[in-house]
Amino acid sequence: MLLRTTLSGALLASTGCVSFFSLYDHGVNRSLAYRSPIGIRVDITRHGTPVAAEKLACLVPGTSDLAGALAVLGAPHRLRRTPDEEALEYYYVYDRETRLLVKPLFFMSQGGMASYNYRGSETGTDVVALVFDHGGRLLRKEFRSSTPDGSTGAMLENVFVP
Amino acid sequence: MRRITLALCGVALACGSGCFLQKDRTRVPLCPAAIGEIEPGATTIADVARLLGSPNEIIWSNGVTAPLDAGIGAGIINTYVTGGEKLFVRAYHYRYAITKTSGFTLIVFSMVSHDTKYDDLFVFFDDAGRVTNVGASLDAAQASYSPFGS
Repeated sequence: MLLRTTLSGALLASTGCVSFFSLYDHGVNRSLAYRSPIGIRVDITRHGTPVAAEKLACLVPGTSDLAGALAVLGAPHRLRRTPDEEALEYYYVYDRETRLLVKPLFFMSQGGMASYNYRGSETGTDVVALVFDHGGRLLRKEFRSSTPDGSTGAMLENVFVP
Repeated sequence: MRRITLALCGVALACGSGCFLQKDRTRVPLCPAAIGEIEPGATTIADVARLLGSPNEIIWSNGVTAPLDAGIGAGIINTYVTGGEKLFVRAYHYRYAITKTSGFTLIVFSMVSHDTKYDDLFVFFDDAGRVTNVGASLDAAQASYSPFGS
């Protein structure tokens, strides 16, 4: 009974402490998954809102204008004015990135253990660029979607020999 | 032996587990009612500054994007002469951002998710300082703690 109570109390208390410290500097960096020679870590990052393809299809170069584009797509994320081209460029950007870190631990045939860091990442950026003339008429539209850049591969990090 | 194993598992769980949620906000939310008061052709640059306050950035007619500086372009002075060329404020850009971060760790497994969404507002002006177009995307509230998207 005493053991159960002690274990439950310790579990709750230390879990609370870990959570508390995590609030200050993303304390997962201090966790065993990051610090120890064995662990798995997944980081997912997303920025912005994707533009629906059907909304973009509504815009027709030569016909659509600035007011129509703003009504359909909303505000762009940034604006670039190019005096030499007599055009305004509007960008709608959506970024996403997933990173994976796997650190398995192996027993080596000649003795000792080896820890490998396997890092994989997948990033993508969708960019919609609209170019208008100074009269507000849509000259052209572009949609660029970068393909995932794959994994950075496996890398030997440490070898422990007793 | 079994109790010792259980105890070790309990200690490992206790020392290596945790979770957190974090929400970061940048600047102030954009008010839909104030945006609704902006009428193309009628509202002036001074009205926009009064309704929404200072913009995050000012886009001038020559393409230069500048942060707010000493009142120039902030509805008080909206034209500027440089090198014999008269520039005017082409657009105001307002942005409010919310980033939601969530994470948990279970002994040797950790997952952290960051999701950033924005409220963006562009107000365009002509050389007389009157609003020509307004574009708003109010997506900041869609930011999610979920690692798999909202």
